Amino acid sequence: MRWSTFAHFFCHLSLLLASLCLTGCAPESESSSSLATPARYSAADESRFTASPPGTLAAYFFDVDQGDATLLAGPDFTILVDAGRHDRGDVVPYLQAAGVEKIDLLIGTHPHADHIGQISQVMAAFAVSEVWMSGDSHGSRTFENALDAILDSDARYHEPRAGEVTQVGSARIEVLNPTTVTGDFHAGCIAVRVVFGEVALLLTGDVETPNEWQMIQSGYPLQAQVLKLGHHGSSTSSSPEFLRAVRPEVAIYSAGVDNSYGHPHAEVIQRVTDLGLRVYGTPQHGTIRLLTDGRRYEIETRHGGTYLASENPGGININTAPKDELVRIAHVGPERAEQLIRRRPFRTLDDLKQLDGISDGRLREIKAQGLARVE
Amino acid sequence: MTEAKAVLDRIEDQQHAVLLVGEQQHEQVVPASTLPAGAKPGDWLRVRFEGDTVLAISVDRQETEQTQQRIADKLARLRQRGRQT
Repeated sequence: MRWSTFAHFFCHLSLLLASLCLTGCAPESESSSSLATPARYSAADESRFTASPPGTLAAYFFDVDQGDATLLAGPDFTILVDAGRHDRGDVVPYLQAAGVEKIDLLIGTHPHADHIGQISQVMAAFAVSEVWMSGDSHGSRTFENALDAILDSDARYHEPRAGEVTQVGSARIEVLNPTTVTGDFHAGCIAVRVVFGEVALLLTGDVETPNEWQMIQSGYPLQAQVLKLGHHGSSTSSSPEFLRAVRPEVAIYSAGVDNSYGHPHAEVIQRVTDLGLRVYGTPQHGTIRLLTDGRRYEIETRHGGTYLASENPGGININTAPKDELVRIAHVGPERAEQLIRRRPFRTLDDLKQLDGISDGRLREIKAQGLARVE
Repeated sequence: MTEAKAVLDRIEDQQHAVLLVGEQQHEQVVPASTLPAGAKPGDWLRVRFEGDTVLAISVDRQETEQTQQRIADKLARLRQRGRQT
């Protein structure tokens, strides 16, 4: 399967999407994908994500505010890594919207309430075959509720340690952390490298720099095309050395809009931007979905209930794009889009600083978003 | 002035103590510097409030020990089950 076919395929997924398709998408009537026709996203079915093509892995980085919940839905496996915050009820509806019927493996990376928050609801809603926890014990009701739910279920229970490799369907799960638990929940956090075909994702939960070092020293393969930035993009994590070891192409973080901790931290965003990574975050993009056939991958973000292929050919050319496309660029609203159109042409993205209100910081975020380009 | 039980869920970035207050586990973030010395995540606290403002925090040793023991027992039961079905 040529990747262009695969990319076009996404453009045919939905009637809504078809009307929003950017350059490079074939018109609806020319659809001749070698893949089977998926369920369409239609007005009558807005609560569901568009179906992923057969044989692919869809990785959902759900927008669960200041928390984590990542679903890996493959052709023969369903893995949930963390289950959102304790004070929300969004994870089960997200899983239902993604078409989940059962869960092969549920990983609670560590016992903090922004990671294991809705394990009890997930266990109540779905049959879960196996649960992994780090082995650290917490005194919170949230943690106790999670344990009660696992005890009440038929799920197997396991506390994985670095070096273990588990095959779940066609996904290989390599455990990178912890080597042991000590009561420091971030040091004991479960970190996994998930390999599907030739594509690897690195999910490190809230692991911080000392354990990033330990992972590097261990000699385990860390390379991954997609890195979920540790600890919601906090500067406690994502050290330059770790980024060099992982060599990601895409960085994704999960955080809440205007969260109390300033996640993601500017220095981390600067670091990954300097390395030329494409950066996606739930505060800006909402739920982020990666689709891969095991060779190539595509990233989509959710806006207003519809997926837009944010990796549309070449992004948004600020010199030619119409206003309704320009507003998808970070910090560009309708008014600034009009100003931008009046100031054309631009030679570089840096020239966007000519616009009122575009500071160095905002320019950095525009670049980090990876959508705007100049031609 | 009101007093409530809370659990220290976590300390974010060495600065922000995240408390889950009461049976509802209502999240309240306070500066980590307001915690009593030696307070660790998983400890149960008594928090005195004036409105939303935290006046004083102390560790409730008895609640902490009882809860942690109860939870440790549950974790032990899970470990016993392990990967057997």
